Amino acid sequence: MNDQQPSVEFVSSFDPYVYQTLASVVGGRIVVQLSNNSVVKGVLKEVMPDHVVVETNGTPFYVRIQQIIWVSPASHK
Amino acid sequence: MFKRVNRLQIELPVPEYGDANAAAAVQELLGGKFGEMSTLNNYMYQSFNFRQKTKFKPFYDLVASITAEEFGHVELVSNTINILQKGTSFAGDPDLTPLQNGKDQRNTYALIATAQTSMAGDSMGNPWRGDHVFSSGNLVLDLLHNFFLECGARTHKMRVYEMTNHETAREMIGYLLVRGGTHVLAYAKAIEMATGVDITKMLPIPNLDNRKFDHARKFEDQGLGNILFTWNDEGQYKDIRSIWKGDNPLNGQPLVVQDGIPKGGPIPDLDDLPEEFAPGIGPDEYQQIAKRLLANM
Repeated sequence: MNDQQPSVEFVSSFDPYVYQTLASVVGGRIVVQLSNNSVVKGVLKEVMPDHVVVETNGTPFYVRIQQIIWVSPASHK
Repeated sequence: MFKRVNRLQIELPVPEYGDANAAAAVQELLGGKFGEMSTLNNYMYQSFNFRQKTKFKPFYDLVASITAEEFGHVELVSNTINILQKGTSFAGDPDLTPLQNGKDQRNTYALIATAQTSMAGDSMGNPWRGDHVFSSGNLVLDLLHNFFLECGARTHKMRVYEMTNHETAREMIGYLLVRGGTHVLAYAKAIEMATGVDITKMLPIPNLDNRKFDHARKFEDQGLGNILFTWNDEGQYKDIRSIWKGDNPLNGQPLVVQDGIPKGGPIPDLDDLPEEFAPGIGPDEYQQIAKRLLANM
């Protein structure tokens, strides 16, 4: 029908200060509050522009930064 | 009497994540009208109240031995609920609102009353009730009720399976679908023995094979749908053999009575939850307790 392809624009959300702050606490124990009313607790292993890796008892959780409500240093263990 | 073995009927997977609302749904399989507390108490009271136990021994043996299995099912579902509650709260001072996620979860009792463990109630928080027990004393009527109860319990399990894909919940439900199917057949065969009517032609209700469920298939493959255990190590309750015989009409395999109990799996342990004050013993207190426990042994 239309031989001209519509141009698609890809948009990616990026929270630069969240990324920067999280990068400064890599290796520490944290609590991550997620938008589905649950928390992930463990050691912050890695921070990427769109996700973080939190490890609990040897199990890595890849958490999308867009789903994070808040992050706090863990107060025990 | 009852003798207790510190093992679960199967090994439950314990992933590092939970789903508190799935735990709330699984409560129906514990303390709902068709939950494991109901199957346990129905068969338990029917076995206590059974008239002419000697004359109708195979039927008494059936209801009495399945009672013990149902006790283990209550244990299995409770442990599943406990495992499912992971990842709800975090340790912290009360003013940090460490239980804040509980406010928006379906079962607030789990946060407030049970420190994120199971409760003797259903998926809407209603307590389990004694009037879920049917013990009429009429043998055929009680067996017919038990057949209906097992069909209803199986239906509810299938629906909760459809509500959550959490590994622990599905492993438990997959196993209990197979064992529940076995009990449906056991009561159908008992009714046939008592009346001559072949109820097994009605199976399965609902008309959906256990093999449709990924987590039930491996237990079917282990032949667990063909076995009734005696749950006894003194050679008792063996007369279920005169009811549990022939072939399974659903798969054509021979029905087997196995003396004793299955091998089972370990009882999962639970982490402490300082924010719930559970168990509420700090390191210093623990040292003092250990000292008192070990003294003068």
